[in-house]
Amino acid sequence: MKKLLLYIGIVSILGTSCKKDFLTSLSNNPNSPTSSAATPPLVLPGAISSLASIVNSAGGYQVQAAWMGYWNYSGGYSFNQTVQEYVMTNSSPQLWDNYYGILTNLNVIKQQANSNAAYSQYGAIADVLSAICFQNLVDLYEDVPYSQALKGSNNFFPGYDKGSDIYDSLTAKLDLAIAKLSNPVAAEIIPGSDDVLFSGNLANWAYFANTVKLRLLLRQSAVSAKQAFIKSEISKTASVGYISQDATVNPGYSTAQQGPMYGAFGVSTGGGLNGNFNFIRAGAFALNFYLANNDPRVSYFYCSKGQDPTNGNSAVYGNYYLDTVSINTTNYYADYLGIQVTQPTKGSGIGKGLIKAANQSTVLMLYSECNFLQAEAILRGYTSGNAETLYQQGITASFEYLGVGANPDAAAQTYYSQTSVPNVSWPASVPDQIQAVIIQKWAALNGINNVEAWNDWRRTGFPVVPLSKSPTLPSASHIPFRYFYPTGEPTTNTVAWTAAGGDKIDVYNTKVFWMP
Amino acid sequence: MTILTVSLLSFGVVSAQTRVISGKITDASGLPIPYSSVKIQGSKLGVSADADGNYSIKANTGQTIMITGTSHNDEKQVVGTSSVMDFVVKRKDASLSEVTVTALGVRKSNKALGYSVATISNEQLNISKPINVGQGLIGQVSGAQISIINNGVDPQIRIQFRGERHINYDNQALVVIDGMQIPSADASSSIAAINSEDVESETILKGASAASLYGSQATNGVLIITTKKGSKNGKPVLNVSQTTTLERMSYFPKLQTTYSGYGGEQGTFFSGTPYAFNSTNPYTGFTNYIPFENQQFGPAFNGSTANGFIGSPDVNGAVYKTPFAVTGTDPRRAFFVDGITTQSDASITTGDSKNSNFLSLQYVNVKGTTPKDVAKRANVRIAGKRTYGLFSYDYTFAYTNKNLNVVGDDFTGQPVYWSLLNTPANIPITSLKNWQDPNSPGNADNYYNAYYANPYWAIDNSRNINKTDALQGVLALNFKANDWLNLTYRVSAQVTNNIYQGYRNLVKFSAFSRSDPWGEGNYQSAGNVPGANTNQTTLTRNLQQDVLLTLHKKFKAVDATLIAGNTITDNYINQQYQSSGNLYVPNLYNIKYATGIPDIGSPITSGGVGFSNQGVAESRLIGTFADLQLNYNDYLFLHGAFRHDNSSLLSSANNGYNVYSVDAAWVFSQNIGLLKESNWFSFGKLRAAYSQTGQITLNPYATVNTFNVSGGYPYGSLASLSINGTYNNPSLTPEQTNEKEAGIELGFLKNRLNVGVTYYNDNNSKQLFPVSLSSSTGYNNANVNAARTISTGWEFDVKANIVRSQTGFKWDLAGNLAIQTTTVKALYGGAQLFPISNSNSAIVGYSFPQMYVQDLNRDPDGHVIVDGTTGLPSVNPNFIPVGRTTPKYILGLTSSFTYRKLSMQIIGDYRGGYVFYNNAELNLDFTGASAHTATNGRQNFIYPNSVVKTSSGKYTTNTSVYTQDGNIGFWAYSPYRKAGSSYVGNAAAWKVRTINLTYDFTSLFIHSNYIKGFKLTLLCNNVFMFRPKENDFTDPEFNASNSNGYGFNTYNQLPPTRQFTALLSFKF
Repeated sequence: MKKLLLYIGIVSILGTSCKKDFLTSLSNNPNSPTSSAATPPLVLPGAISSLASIVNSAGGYQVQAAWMGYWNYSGGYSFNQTVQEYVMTNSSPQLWDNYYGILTNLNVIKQQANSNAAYSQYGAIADVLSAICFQNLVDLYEDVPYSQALKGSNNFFPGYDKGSDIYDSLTAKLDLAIAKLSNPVAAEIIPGSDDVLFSGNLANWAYFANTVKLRLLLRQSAVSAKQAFIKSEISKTASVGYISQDATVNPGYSTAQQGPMYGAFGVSTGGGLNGNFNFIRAGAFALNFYLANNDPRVSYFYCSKGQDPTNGNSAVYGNYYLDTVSINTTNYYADYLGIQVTQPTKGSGIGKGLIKAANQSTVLMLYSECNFLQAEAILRGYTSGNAETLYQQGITASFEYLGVGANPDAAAQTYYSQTSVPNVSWPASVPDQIQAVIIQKWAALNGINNVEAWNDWRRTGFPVVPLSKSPTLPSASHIPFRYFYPTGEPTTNTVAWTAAGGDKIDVYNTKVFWMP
Repeated sequence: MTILTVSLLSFGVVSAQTRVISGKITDASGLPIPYSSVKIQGSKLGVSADADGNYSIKANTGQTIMITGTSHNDEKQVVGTSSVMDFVVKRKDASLSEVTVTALGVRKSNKALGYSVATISNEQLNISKPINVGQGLIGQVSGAQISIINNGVDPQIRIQFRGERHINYDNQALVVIDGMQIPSADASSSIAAINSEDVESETILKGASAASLYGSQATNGVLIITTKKGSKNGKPVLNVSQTTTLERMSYFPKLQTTYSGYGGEQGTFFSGTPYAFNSTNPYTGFTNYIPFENQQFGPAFNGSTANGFIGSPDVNGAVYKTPFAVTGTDPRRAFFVDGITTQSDASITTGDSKNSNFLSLQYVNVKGTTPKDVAKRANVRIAGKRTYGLFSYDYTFAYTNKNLNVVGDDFTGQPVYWSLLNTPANIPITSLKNWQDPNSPGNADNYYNAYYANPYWAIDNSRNINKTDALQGVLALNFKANDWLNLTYRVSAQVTNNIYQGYRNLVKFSAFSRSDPWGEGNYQSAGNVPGANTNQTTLTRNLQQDVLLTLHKKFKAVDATLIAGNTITDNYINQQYQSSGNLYVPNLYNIKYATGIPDIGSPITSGGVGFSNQGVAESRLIGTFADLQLNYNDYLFLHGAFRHDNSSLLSSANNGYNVYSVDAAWVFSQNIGLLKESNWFSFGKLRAAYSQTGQITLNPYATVNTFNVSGGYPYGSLASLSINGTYNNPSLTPEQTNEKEAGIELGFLKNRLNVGVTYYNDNNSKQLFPVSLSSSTGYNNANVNAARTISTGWEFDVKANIVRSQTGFKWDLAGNLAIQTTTVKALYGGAQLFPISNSNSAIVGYSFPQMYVQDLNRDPDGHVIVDGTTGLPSVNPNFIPVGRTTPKYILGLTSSFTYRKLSMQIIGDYRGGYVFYNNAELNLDFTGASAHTATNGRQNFIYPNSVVKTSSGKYTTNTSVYTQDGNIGFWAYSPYRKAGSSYVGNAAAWKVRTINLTYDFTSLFIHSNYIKGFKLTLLCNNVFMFRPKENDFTDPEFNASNSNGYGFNTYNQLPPTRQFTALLSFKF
């Protein structure tokens, strides 16, 4: 009661004596930080880790895993009919908001770097990561807001830029970022543990930026008008070099705070399976590719029937969590997309090479992919070098990432040294070599970066993935070429969406500018 | 009891010199006036007349007997020689002299009001003996839309007047309890905390004009609740009553009882085992009865016991067998029990002309229809008034303690009702209670359903508990300096502490069940489920200070009243949240015993204060106002009000704004000579009002941009922030409503027939809402002042005293009708649509809120087009508006009969002209549980009223193409179920809300000195509901959330119930 009277007293005194402060003292939010607190070192970690989580297949690109023959769905569940029928809508699959959400945070970093030169390296890092985001947006949607994007209240209705223009702008921005990252100045703040990708190693950032640039340019390999441009751009920064290790992200995942892949498919802290393990089964196309080519990676991408991460230690078939490269092929089972694997226990689940441990890092880019990119650039005459070596290094890096056997390098060598196995041994003609590079890249990206496999399929047609066996496929009867713009665009940005032809998209036939 | 003793003693002292005087009090037409106060002038003695106007009192010759009452003028007679003294009193003209509590508690004569006001008395409110005061308003006031959001032991009530004005934010009426303005977030719980017996009256200020003195909270109208302060006359009166209510499911959804479990399995897990069950489904031709399924697309029950095993075999190979048939009560309905509510009330009223006191106690115990669901409420209220010369004060203190304990979700994350509705009809669910026994078929290891948990497990292991303590106090000091100047100072405080705990026990499965022996992907195979516990405490503290200066002066023919004043409010919330879903000790719910990192909730942000929030939110408002009322010769009334508000919710640059209103009333029956003399015309008033009011719908801190913790962070010592997706706009101003209102009130035949008509037109502009932005802007949404809606409506109120017979038969009929429409005029920029929630949208040019869903492709005449081969319809990808989701017409009817000591009241209502989305049915079609899915015998059928496209633009009636599947393929997976329009239906319903039958036994105790009144009431609430045939699922009034997203039910709402109540009330 005393307290009540006190409050009443306070209210009356405040109400009469200091009216101005009485109200304005409540304008600051005591619960959440505002922009002054959100410095680049605080914003960067979340931006990197959420980007990696989209690219690595736990978060963003499960649909592509199904389309590209890596994964299928278990018949014990009934909710993925749409993927099996290639059904595309403006609500699914979608990644628009995810990428722009990350871009908004990268933009916060960029703005602070622009106003405070000490954060210049953060600005360069933000540009590299933004390039990945925008490239992915263009690859999914072609024309997207770019030059007018991320302006907040200054432009609530940003216009769309042409996908090819965005590509060219990104190329230029990557050049600037590479230059900045290669020449740090003393006064600049160098990231430390907040850089969850390279721990503040700016040289690695420069290699990474150059690899991102290489991938961006190679994506346009089928655009005849750009051949000279691609070649000169690659040569411009060729001396910088490319990544020599997997670009993986780990802010500190642990048993309690699991990495995204493990969090989706591994064992929960309570000891049960994390939700999606039983839902995803092996896809017959990829499983058969590994089995047919004596590829020991099969037991790393997939586990034996009836096995899962919770019972791997008492493995009946001896392939799960046991470091053996001998494959009892009868213990693997998969159906093609469109045929639901009868029961969770009847098909192979995701394997130990993908679900390694609760604290496993998320892959932003595989070193394996980098080797295949360089090999292809050489084969297409954009640059010089030994494509075969890079091809073999790409395969070896994949074996290393998966941890195949006691000696992954030897296992890889055994594998690619097989004679006259199409798309495994190094073929004679350049077209076959390019095909082998793309297919081996596909074989390495399984469950790790599904979208790159789909991008390569759209660009090169490799590998020739069989159609879904679903009886109700759309008339186009091939894997979709692109995404619809998301639900919100027609209502929130009507004019720009219409101007970009958003109402005329045919996801089976409308090609992204770099598609042949 | 002390009070009784004292009064008895005082009787003893005077009785020697007195004799008994008795008589009857009637009005001029001879109708009895009940319950008048009968007193001996100059003494403290007094009695109360009974319901028929009879009284008896002990008095001496020469003393004066005085009759006072609220419905008539005072009357006096000196005691002479006769012992029978009848009184004929002059009824007060109801419309002329009734006084209404208006904004800020100012009492005004009814006839002076230039706007629409309704008053509900304690008696009207308690016809249905509501546990929640809001429910008592249903059907009684035109333009009031009282909705029960959900069923269960503690239903949430949504109170709205004149429909929806605001597209995104709050449309609920401001609630004012004893002068204290309750923030809208607390309104529902504050109303739920009040004992309906403590309410003196409820005043409804329907429109913004009437409410303008409330400034920034005025636009949605106001519900003013005034509680009892004791009586001004008479001896202490003790009221005691006991209420018992039986509650029973009344409208259970129609489920099919013909077909068994099957969910599309193509496997052959059963062949070659001892449990083989190889009857092929005659309709699909490829499958069998699946004994562990939640979906019900299997073969028809054939009555066989041999084949009717359910679930999988247990670890010993034993199977649980039941008849492959449905017998007796549908077991899903049998799951629900009879709810019992007991309510005990006691109150003491006392007082004289200077002092009064009121004390009440109440205890309510609700046992719900879901086993073990309980709600308890205890109330204490003490109130009173004292006068010392020029000074007076009055006070109210109320304390409420509420305890709520209801079942939570099971370990698969599903609500009990959902698991139940997904139980095939042959499962004897009520015999599976024994979940504890590892060998019981009810145990989690052996439960028949591979995908959903036993609801009885959830009932015993998953509970949501709410404990609330609420204290409200109001103290008003009054200084009446002289006959024209009065000063009032009032402080009010409301402190509420809510402690929530939601817990769920851990569950461990046997190795056998985890091995998923039949390979069905059972829930056990996903592993053990750790326990969960959530604690949330919320302290809410609302303070208010009012200063009111009232000047009243008469200048010849003009009587002027000026009120000037100031109101300051401070609303503070402190909420703390901790939760973990990783508890490892059985039966212990403390997050200390959890692995992993507990969740401490999200900070309270511009997104609002709600569940799983952490932090503080405080806002303050300063309002200064003046109100001038002019009365010219008692027939012309002019009134104007002005208020200036400053709010901390807006940025300091633009936090001040003005609201005002003007209104006039002309009582022409007092003005025009001819009418004054009329026998049949007794009252006539024309009125008009105009106002500009505002509403600040923002949460605290909604004008400054903030950052959140990035998802998953912190990892060890590594922290990360990411920007909040909402752009917190600093330039926001209050929403604005310009209201025009006009009305006429007429009384005929000595006011035995009263008619009122009101028209209003509200222009609601500068509406605040978070426009969705393309995320490419950097934000997902931004608060802007943009949208505009127009709300128009008619309100009709008719009251008729149909029969007044000398034999004591009385029949009163009251009816009210509101026709209301809000139309969206503009949104933001060129936007034509703003999505709300639950498939509701605001669409320019359409009434709001509007159901917006996908439809099937149709020919120009509206027939569904089916494919020439598959016979299936297809979904049109474009969304279309399919109807408003709030009633256009609300009709309320109250009929009151009285015959001597028996009275009966019936309240009914109709709501129509709107649609609702039966989302629960959509889900039940998927599982094959709904009766809907059995309509075609699971056979392929010709889609009703369908056409087939023959050539471009040409369609022929489909007479031959059958759907390629009439079973799971159609009901679970076809385009039919994917089109929202398939589940949108007419929401109209007639309801008999209450029938109340009361017999007054008081006359049996006429000679008792103790018992002054005794009544028995039998009443039934939610008696009948008449709804269109297409709605066979639930009450269309139920809604998935208390938001502007209306007309959307889910499987989280329990079925409607009917309540039978017996009430005994004594007066001492």
